[in-house]
Order: sequence, then structure tokens, then C-alpha cells
Amino acid sequence: MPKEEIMEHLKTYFAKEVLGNKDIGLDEHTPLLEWGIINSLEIVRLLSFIQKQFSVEIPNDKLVADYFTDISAIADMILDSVSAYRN
Amino acid sequence: MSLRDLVIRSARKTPDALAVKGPDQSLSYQQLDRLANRLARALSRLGVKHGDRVGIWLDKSANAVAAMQAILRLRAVYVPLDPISPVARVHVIVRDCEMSALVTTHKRAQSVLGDDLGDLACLCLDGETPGPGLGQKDLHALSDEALPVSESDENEIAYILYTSGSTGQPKGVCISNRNALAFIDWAAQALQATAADRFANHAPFHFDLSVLDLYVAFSVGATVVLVPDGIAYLPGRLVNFIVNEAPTIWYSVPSALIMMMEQGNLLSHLHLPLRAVLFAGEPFPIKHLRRLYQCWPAVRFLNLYGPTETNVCTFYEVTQIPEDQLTPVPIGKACSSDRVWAQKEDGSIASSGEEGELMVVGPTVMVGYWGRPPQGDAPYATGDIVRLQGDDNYLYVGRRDHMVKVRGYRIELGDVETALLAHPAIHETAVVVSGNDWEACLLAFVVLNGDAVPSLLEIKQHCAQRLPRYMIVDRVEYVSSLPRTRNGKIDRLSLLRHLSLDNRSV
Repeated sequence: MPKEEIMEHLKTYFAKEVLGNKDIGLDEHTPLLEWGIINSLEIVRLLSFIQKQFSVEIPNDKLVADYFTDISAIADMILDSVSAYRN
Repeated sequence: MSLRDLVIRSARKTPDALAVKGPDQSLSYQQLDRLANRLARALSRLGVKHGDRVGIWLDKSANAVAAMQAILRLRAVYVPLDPISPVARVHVIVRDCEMSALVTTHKRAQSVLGDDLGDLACLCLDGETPGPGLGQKDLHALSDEALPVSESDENEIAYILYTSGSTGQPKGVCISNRNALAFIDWAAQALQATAADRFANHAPFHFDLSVLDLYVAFSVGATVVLVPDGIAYLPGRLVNFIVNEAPTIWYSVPSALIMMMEQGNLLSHLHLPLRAVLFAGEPFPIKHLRRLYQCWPAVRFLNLYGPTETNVCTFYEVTQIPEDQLTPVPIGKACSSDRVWAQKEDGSIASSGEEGELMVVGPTVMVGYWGRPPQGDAPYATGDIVRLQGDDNYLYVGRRDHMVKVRGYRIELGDVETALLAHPAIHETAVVVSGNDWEACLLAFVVLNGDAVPSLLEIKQHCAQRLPRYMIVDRVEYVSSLPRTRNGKIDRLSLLRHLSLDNRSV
């Protein structure tokens, strides 16, 4: 799956599940952690969405702030995890 | 004796024992001691000296632990920062405590130096420094021999924990060597901690619960195993951590334990090496605690109590939970050589059966807030209302104000409301906590000024510029007016009732 498509899925997820069906102002560089769009409550739901949508389990060492700063970073991390999983 | 001596002493006694196991690396006492020396030399080269404030802005890691030790060795003051704090928040703290250096990563240093803090010296542990300061290579070139240091005064500030950041005005709680050691000594004794113990560290380093895990372990030459930030609220992975890392002591907010019981199948593990479970930060709902207590009869359960300003000043060891008990377990009696009492509204001391505000004096009470008048010997008023029971234990009853706890973090609802009111589209607002335990979230009822309806994203962005992360609202519900009580105050109870009936929020 190309990165663009992953980002589109993520954007839809955040708009629908976190931001009350509105994606006004949300783009791939919106700071998700800083603005509390991902927090200790939301991280559980996000990971189960990623697992269902992209069939990949994110390893513990990827669960650090750097990989979750924005939609673009999460998409890169998912691509990385998918290829690591295949190898 | 000062806080820095704990690691130094254990490194001399048991150099090869495992001191800290982090997501980044594991360090024996000797390795931790040497890394701390090297970091201290680097910071000293950056000009850090006695009394200076040095920030630590790193993911939870063995490196971050070594940085704390390094800063203490220079008789400087460490200031742990939330690893995912927005840059704006970091700036506020850097300025408030007049920070002279920051231990961080290349990427974070770049983000923090971007603005007008170009002269803040950074020590970057994972690469080059983007501005003034030192990088990874410079660090490796330095000796790991101890620097000579003068004896420190026990009343010197060891670290500052920023708490309950009221709007625009963060409050830095200054904890001295004496404050911390009085608590650590008590906890080590109460737990009968030994070098064979493995302490799990669940709380982030900017949260005062972490002080017990780190320093009680260091005081007896035990191991502290760091729970990575990223899994702290992932029930399944947290339970795996407990099973794989086999801690003997667990200390966290009740929410984390409840979440593991409800969603991580914690109670299917009956034979763990755990020997003590400690909890603090919020009341543990009795039905959940009872299940845990019944499931693990060989484990000790201790309820610790104390705002950041007093460390832990009372505790209660659970020895029975009757089937018909509905109230949470008491916060217990004074500890850490402190003295506590409940002060009634008329200023007199509450006697058995009566309620009052819990007051604390003693060696664990903070030096004061940074930049404000010292606390001195004045009793610290906690703002918590307690009842003195017949058995001399105190029972937590509630708050004097609108402060609430969400996953152990204290939140002044008024501060969230003030921040929201600074938004031009918002006319009036009331913030409430919706949901229980680990599912608790902040919901703002908002009355608008005009027709412009800000998106939730915009509201979150607005909050993030003014509040710590844990105070950012989770949901917003737009209403035409707020319900009032007869005396004109916002009727929070009616809002909460409305909540349980109706879930049409944004």
C-alpha cells in the first residue's frame, strides 16, 4: 500500500473516531501528540485500528513519540513495520 | 547524605548488580556511575554549576536516569520534562526556572532552539547539537572518572517537578535532598526493600510517583525496570511487561491496574513474583481493589497519599476488605516522619468522626514553588477534605475546589475553563470529567459568542498552547446556555446528569 493511501485511511480514522466526523484543519503534519489528539486513552484505539486496517502489530520499540508526531510519521512507521514483518 | 550518594554508594558496594533496565539499554551500578560521571563532565563543560537548573527532555530511558544522577553530582537541580510536551510548554518551563542547560535529543533541541531560546546550551545524547552545546561524540571523548564535588547541604534543591500548570503560570515544586530522602528512607523501610527486589517504574519521570521506584531501588542496590512511555496505557502489553520483567514491586495510579484487570487479563496470572503493589494519585474504586486483593493473597497492598508538594505523607496498608465495604480504603496515617491533621473550617483540629482539610508539616514538605516565597515551616494545606476515622486513619472525602484527577494527574477545571475562555468564539464554558477510572476524559460544555463554531481540532490546538497535555479537552458539546443553581453558580451536577442521558457530543 502506498504511503498516500495509508495517510488517507489515518486521516479518515482521526476525523471520524476522534474529531467528531470533522476533518477541518487536519492534515499529515497536524501535531497529533502535542494537541492531545493522541493521548493515553486514544492510543489503545489507534493501535487496534492500525492492526485491523493494515494487518500489522506495531512492536514496542516503535511505540515512542517520534513515530506518532503526525499522520505522515505514523504512515512511515506502518510502512516500516509492514516490511520488517514480511522479512 | 544527599540524593546523589545513593547510586555512588551502591556502585561501590555492588558494581556489577543491575541498576536500571530501560528500553534503550541496561546499566549495572558501575556503568550507571560512570555514565553519570561522563554526563556530569559534559554539563560542567557547558558551564553548569552548583544550583543551576538543568532540564531533561528525553523519552523514558536509562540515559535519562543517568542524566538525573549527573546533574545531582554537580549539585545542580534537575527538571524532568514531559517527553511529548509541546515546544511551547517547554519554553514556558525553561523560562520559569531560568534553565541553564538542557539534556535532550538532536531533534528536540532543534525544535526548542527554533524560537528565541537560541542561547540555551543543549547536551544531545543521540547526535550533534544544532546550537550551542555538546553532542554524542563530544560526550564519548570525555573521561568517566568522578569530578570532585563539595559536600551538599541537605536543604539544597535536588529537583523541580512542574505540576498542575495553572493557566500560563506553571508551578515548579522544589524538592530538596532532605525532602526526598525522608520519603525514600521511609518507603525502603516500609517495603523492607532489598537488593534482590525489582522495582517496576510505571510513572513518567516528571510525575512524582517515579521518585519511589528509582531511589528506593538505588538506596538498597536493587534494580529498577522502566516501563516504556508508549506502553504505559496499553493493557495487554503492560501485562506482558509484568510477566516478562518479573517485578517484585509495582507502583502506579489505580487506573493502570484497573485497565490491566479489565482489558489485559491481569488476574489470570496467579503466580507472579510480585510481593507488593503500591498505588497513589487517585482513589482506588473498592470493587476493583477487592478483586485484586482476593486474587493475590500473598501480595502486600499499600495506598500511598500525598500531593507532589509533600511527597508521600500518609499511607495505609490493606489488611482486609469486607464484602459490604463501599468506600475506598483510607489514606491512613502519617509517614515519612511527617505530622498530619485535619483542620476544620473554624480553624480547630478535627476529632474522631469529623472532617477537615488535611494539613502537613514535616521533612517531606517541599522547599516551595520556584520563584515564589519559601514554604518554611508553615503547614502545607493540601486542599483535600478528609475524615478522621475511629481507628485514627484518615479517609479521603473530596476536594475543597474544582480540582479533579484524571489518570493520577491533577487538573484544576477552572484552569481549563480560563484557557477555553481565551478563545474569541467562546462566551461561556464549564468543563466536567466524563467516564470513570482509566476511561475518564475531559468534556467542555461551551456557549458560543456568535455563529462561528470552532472545530474540536481548533479547540485542542488552542488548549495545547496554554495547558499541559493532560489538561487538553477530549470532547466539546455546544449548548445554548449553561444550567445554573439557585445562587447563580454553574450547576455541574446537572451537566453530569445531562451527560449520562445524552451522548450527542462532538
